[in-house]
Amino acid sequence: MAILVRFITRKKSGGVAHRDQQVEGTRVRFGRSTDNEAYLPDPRVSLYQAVIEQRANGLYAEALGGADMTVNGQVMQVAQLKKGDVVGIGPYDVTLVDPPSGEGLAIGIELVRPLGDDLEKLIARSKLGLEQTGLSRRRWAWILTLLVLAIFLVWPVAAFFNPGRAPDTDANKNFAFRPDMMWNSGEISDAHKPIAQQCNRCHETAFKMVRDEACYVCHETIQHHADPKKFKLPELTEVLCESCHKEHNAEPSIVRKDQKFCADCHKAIVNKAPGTSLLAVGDFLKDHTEFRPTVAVDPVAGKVERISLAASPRPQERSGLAFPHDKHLRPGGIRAPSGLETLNCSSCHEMAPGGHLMVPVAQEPHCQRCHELAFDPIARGRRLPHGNVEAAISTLKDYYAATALTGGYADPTAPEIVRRLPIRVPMTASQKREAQEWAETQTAQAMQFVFESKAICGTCHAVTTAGEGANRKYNVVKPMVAERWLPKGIFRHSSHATETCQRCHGLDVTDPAKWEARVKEAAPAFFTAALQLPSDEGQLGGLKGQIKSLQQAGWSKDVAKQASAVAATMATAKLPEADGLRQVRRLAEDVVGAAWSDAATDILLPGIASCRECHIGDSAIVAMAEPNNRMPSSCVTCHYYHVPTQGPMNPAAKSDDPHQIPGQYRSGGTPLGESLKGLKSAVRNTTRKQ
Amino acid sequence: MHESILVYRGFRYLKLSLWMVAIAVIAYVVHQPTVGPPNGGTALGYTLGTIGVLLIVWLAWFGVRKRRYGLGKLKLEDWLSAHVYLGLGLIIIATLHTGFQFGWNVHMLAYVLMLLVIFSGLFGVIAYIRFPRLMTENRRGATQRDLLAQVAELNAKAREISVTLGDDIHNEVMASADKLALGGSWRRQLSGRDPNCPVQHAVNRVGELVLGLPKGEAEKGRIVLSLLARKLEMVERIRRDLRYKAIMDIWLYIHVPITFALLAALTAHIVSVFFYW
Repeated sequence: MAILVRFITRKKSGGVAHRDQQVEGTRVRFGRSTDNEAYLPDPRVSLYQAVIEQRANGLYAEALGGADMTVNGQVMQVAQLKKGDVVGIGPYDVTLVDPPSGEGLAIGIELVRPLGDDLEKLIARSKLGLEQTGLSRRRWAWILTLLVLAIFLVWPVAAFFNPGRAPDTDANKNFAFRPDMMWNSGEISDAHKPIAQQCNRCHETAFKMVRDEACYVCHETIQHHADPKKFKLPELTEVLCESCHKEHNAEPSIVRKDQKFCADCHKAIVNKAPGTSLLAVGDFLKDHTEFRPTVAVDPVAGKVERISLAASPRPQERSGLAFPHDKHLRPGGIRAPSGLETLNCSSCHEMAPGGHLMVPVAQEPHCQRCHELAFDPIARGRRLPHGNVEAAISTLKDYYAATALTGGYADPTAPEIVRRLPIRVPMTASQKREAQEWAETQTAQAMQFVFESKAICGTCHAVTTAGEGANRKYNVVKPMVAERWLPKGIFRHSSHATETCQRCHGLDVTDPAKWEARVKEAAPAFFTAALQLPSDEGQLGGLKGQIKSLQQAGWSKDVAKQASAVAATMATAKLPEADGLRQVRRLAEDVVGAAWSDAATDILLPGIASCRECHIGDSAIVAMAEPNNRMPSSCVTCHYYHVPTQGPMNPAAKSDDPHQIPGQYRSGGTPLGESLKGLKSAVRNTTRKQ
Repeated sequence: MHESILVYRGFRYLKLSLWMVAIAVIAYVVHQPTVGPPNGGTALGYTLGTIGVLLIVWLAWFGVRKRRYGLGKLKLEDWLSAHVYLGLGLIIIATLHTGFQFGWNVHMLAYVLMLLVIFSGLFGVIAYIRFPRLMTENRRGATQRDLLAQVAELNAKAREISVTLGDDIHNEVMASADKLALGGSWRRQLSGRDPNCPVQHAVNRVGELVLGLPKGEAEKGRIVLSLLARKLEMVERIRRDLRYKAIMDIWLYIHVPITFALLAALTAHIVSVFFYW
């Protein structure tokens, strides 16, 4: 079967043209694809839009794939066609026409709605795509780029090079905003917060690292770590301040605290600095030497030495003072003017302001109440001045001369003229001579008593003498009282206030043999007296039983220990009143006190082992091996990097540096005011941590 | 094709990026700065910063490279795949460079702009995976111009038929054609909706008016209504098409300008760091 397809075109003149096409088969497909039997070249038509087909029961039109089709104006999917029907396929009308030959099927196709203004107008009205909306990537790229560069680069740089810029000083610091603050890469350390708004205090020159001179403006007298002439180490001389002190990391402190920083050199310091006197140290727990306090060894020559606490025999301090801790700290108290008084550490040792050191013990505030320097029982209320031999001698001379002149000296062995009632009567020449001789003799005797006996000066001090008779000269050796035993370390007593004094400064005698001998010496008298107590009430019976068995056991170290324990109970326990108990207690205290330091030569400083009970180094590896939880403490916990005796790093700083560390030894004769001055500067130094 | 960018060459560039990130993270964990906490000024900080800058410049160069077809040893697919994965890896590199120190400053600005660029790019990747398939389904093989032509066609048909109907209906039909504008502002394109759609209005109005037509005209009225309904469907399909296209395009309006802003901020960052060394 053949189908005639006729494409009809109406001309503007009104004529009709047509182009015919023969199709073999029973169907005609309509669509934009060229393989359709009826090829419809129009964008509004889909590739295969519809088909007209001769079926067994008639002629049918069918829309393909849900495409658009109308039959006589009505949207249809399938429709049976009869002559005269108009099938709308997109802009085309398809009609069944009379075949020219009169036979078969003829289809007329006419483009009735040419693609025209409707589409173009619709497109013109629409905005299809973001590129038509006025959004522009290029424009925004330019705007943002220039904005960012202008605000964050050009503005701060221009402000920096502005010739009218006021220099960064404290006087100029109060402005609302400066553009280079936008460059601030992180919060500045707490100590530098006052200059946080003054970038050019440190950043002086563009593209140059912060110079040390910028630091010296404030840190004018900062000290070297080691003598740069003796130790020309690049680690010390060729680094900038800012190599170690890194700012803008939002850290409250910019001090290097890592142990590695110190230990890298000091673990084998001889390799780094041949000729150094320093010992090798590393981790505090594993590689730190025993403390080496600066100890007075000769008070007459004023000589000190650094001796390790581990030295054998243990170092002894020769301060020129005698002071037995055991006698002053008797548990039952000591006889004071106001009666029995129990002393403890803080009776004499007070923390200095600032909390680092202790105020040095001095005669007037601490000793004088009991050791009152009276030289003559008849001279009531007369006291010798402390700390000045000449003044003391003058006092004696003045007193006896004045007494000889005025009389009233109530001593039956004294001459009549001196004993007379102090009434103004003229003296004869012989009386005058007698009185004068008496005064001279008395003065000489008193001087001998004051300086040469153990009763006044000699109680605490060493006294040297020279010459005989009237030419005899006395000199009290100036004692050397330690202010800082360990001047290279920083120690804050206030940070350790939670501990008892005893925990570190043990009063125990350090030599067990010495202790045992002293217990052995004191125990028999205590035992005898205790056993003679008439009462067996309360604890007494038990204690006496223990003492009896100790007496019988024969002497041994173990017995010494038990005797000490019994004596401690006897001295402090609440016991029933008994005759002689007070005497027994006094004797018991002698046994207990035997365990305590009995001489000022003992150095009651804790060794490093004592510190290590709580502190370990900050090496993580060592800490891992340590089962106890202890405080990691790096070198700068106790030491300075910028050592206050090495001279200023700043070449322009004055050499007579005001921040020199003070002497570690204070002469006993120094007035308190001056001592406090030294103390203040010591405290200032220790708090001035770099 | 779009998913194939992600799995391109057996995830070659994903692996490359993961290696880069892994090495950087390990270095960060192992590295103990000599002084102070981790920050951009340590040896590792400078290294990570340099890597970050090189990556940013290279990633930005993609905008140039993609316009030069057939140049270079690597195919454009290599570039795009690497662009995606190395760009994501850059988040880690740059964050490690900061040492987790953030503040209100030019350095943070560069970091935030970089994140904006990367996350807008990530949005683009997801859009390119999701929307092409939806667009194809929506268009059913036609082009956008085909769809528009069909709307124009329906305009003409409806107008033709409605000529003989009352003015009420004819005016609605005319308005539905003359007032119809597709797309519009970027917001409207992204929403895919037009609350004042004249076609929707015409469908509603003609639907009512048809009921009042005399018997002889009812048939034609129904035809007009069906044409309008058909047009509304086409119009909505075009709007969906525009919406998908807009979503696929919009991220570039962030990605590209912010990239340039980032390059500017990066310049300010680097200059300022060494200006105040």
